[in-house]
Amino acid sequence: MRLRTLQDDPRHAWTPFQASDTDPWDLDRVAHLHRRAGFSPSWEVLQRDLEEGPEASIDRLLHGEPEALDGSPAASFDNLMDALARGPGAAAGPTGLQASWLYRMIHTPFPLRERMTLFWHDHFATSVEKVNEPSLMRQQNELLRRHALGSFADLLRSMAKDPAMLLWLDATASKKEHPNENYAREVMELFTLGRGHYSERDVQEAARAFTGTFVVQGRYRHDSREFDAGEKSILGQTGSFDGDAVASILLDQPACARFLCRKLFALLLSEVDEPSDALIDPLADAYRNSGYDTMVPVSMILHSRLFFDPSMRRKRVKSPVEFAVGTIRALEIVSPTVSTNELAEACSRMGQRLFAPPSVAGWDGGPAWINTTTTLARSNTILALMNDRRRFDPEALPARHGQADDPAAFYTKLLVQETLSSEVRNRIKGSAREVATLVLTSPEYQLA
Amino acid sequence: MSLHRRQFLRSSLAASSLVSMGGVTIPGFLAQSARAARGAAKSNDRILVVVQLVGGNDGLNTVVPHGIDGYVRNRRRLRLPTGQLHRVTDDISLHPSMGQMAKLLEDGRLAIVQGVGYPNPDRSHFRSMEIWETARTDSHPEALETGWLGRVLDADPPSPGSDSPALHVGGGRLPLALRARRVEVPSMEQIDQFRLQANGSSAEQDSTRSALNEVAGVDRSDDPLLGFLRRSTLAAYEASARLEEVAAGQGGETNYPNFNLARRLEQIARIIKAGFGTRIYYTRQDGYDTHANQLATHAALLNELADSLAAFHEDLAQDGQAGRVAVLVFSEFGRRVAENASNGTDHGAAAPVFVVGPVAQVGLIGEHPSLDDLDEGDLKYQTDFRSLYASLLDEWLGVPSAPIIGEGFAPVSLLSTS
Repeated sequence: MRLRTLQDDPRHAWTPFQASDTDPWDLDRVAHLHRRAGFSPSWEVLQRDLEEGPEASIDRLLHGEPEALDGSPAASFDNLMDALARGPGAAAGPTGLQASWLYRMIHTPFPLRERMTLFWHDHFATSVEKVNEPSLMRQQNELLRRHALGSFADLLRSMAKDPAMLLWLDATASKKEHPNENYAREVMELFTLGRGHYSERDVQEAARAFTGTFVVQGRYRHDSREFDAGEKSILGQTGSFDGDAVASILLDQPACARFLCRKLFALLLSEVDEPSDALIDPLADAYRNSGYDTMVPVSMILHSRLFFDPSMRRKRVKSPVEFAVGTIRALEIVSPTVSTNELAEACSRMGQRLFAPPSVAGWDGGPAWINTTTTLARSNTILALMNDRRRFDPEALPARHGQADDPAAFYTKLLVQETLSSEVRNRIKGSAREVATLVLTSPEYQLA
Repeated sequence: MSLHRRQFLRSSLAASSLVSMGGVTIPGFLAQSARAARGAAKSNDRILVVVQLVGGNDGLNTVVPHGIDGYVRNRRRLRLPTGQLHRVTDDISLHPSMGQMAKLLEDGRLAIVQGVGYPNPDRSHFRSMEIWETARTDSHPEALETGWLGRVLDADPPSPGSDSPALHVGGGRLPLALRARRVEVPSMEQIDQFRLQANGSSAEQDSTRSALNEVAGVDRSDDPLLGFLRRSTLAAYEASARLEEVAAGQGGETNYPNFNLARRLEQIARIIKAGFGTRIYYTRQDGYDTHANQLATHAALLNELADSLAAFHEDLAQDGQAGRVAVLVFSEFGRRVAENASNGTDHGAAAPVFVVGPVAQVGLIGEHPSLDDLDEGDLKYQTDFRSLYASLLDEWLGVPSAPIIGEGFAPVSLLSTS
């Protein structure tokens, strides 16, 4: 099997993909790139990227497009979205936060940055249910977005001072006499190293380094009188470390880069294959040597032969947010778009409440997205969208792209490309509305 | 997602694809309903329904100790007229609005555990609910991460694609009792969320549904993940279709009163009758925080409770399912023995708990707490609520209770499992 050969051959796996007669730059590869590094694309984007080739397509995803889907230039779109989240978004509570983020994802000129923001939201999972302060959740979301494709080192250091995170982990008053171990434990177990790469003693010592941390009226405060300035021994190093120094010690561990790269592998490549250390190490080394510039491993993955290998397709279950936003972008339901309040509720029914992951470990994801209730919620979301005649006309979309004569072929190519077996394709029939519904509810479409 | 979780998911995915290699795949809930139809309820067919009375129910005016010295003395304005009470024993009777509960008692379907509580009672609604829902009295941060029923789910997480092992029926946030680390429990206000909502005439709806089924139905077993998605999708449509059949077939036969609680229990009954694999249901009745002018409000609440529980029981009995369903009714605390100056009662401690179903002991369990020997004006508890949980876990659900609620809570036998 090709998958085995490439996965067992890290040198070739991470070399850049080159289009050839046997591995052509085709619709499947263009769509795969967008599903993983963004959201399902519109017909126009698919055709453009098919034409312009891998370099230009990957580049646009890594750095964003010049214009948002509402036509505004990228920079002013960002300002507008920040203002939207800050004002009406946070003011309307958890639903407002969810709705304003979904609105942003639907129109963003930089889908990869939103996907990575969501990835870090899952990694540094914090829930408004406990934090109870929408404005602090909004601040954390801005922090995640600012560093989404930048320095993980900066993100990690900022997270130790993020009021929402500290409230979430009950670490709002860590005093010299009673160091709070919660943050120190999670930073090792969930944020950097993973279990088995530190001891209880390391947690206790690190907790001392995080003393003096307070949250007062929603703001981070460092109180030097409550900081334990004594000597600590953490992961073999000794010194009078503070929180920033602990972050440096953790980042210096090879286990940290491996831990993060395994998560990036699951995000961008496969949730069902367990990569070997040999396959992960080149990514992890590059990440650590760059000083944890997240752009480095992400770019390496997206350019790689392994990424574009057909064996890597459909190896992820779309999260409810990927599913919902991708569908809306692919069907060009952008101006006006759907009610993002309702969309937030639909995502909740499908099992993903933005800003409210179930625990500090984030969403389980993968096959766990799928159960009786969530599957019905996915189908019902599609049925409701297909019947929202004011916002979506299933005849008009293929007609706009000169494909009115065969809507079934159009929706298949747009949404799932060549993945349907002929037996499935034979059953996709009926009116434009019917064929769109059938493709969007098919098992194939639930996978990325 | 942590690595061990991913490994777990990967292995459960592998396991579920093995199932399909045998050829025909029977969705789990069908297998279960087939078992149920054969009659004898095995431990993995039994169902627990929890009804939480939110606000702190006045136990003294629910299971009324009118023959015990002290009731009359403490309850001058809130005293219930003895002639209208429903007799349980010579000294103890049910509230006048609970005629339907009295009938359940007559039919041998009701147990009343007296004086249930826990040491050092907390009189904050919030804190006391946390204690009941987590089954932990300490304030360790991790104590609040999972509920007692959530830990039941974590102990045996469902395989992907199977029915949700627990359901919250009602609005508002998920009860802490159902919070789990590895399982996401859905909240459902309306059964509609469990139905495939096709549009148009009924013929159009049918054709949409069969088209969706046809597309999902094609074998995809050469790809494990796709095969899993296919099975889950078919199972979901099948569940939805059966639910609809059941709902349509039952139309006029059930007889639920027009109360919120009754509507929720009716939804639960429908899902049970449809043969779902869900074994834990949770719902709430609000409004028990009766600090002022308690009499009329409390009577209405207890009437809703009694009539709804009786209708639920009757519905299940008609379907031959009453033997596998137990209902636990609790509140976060009872109220002060003495009434207050506003014709109401303030936050108290121990109170009675109801169990409806195939009970092992009909009627009262345990002694009524003394009305003279009080703890800061409140009844002293006789039975720790965790002893009831122990019984429901060990004996009813067949889940070892010690890892869930800790050691040392001797089960109080509540239900008959023969």
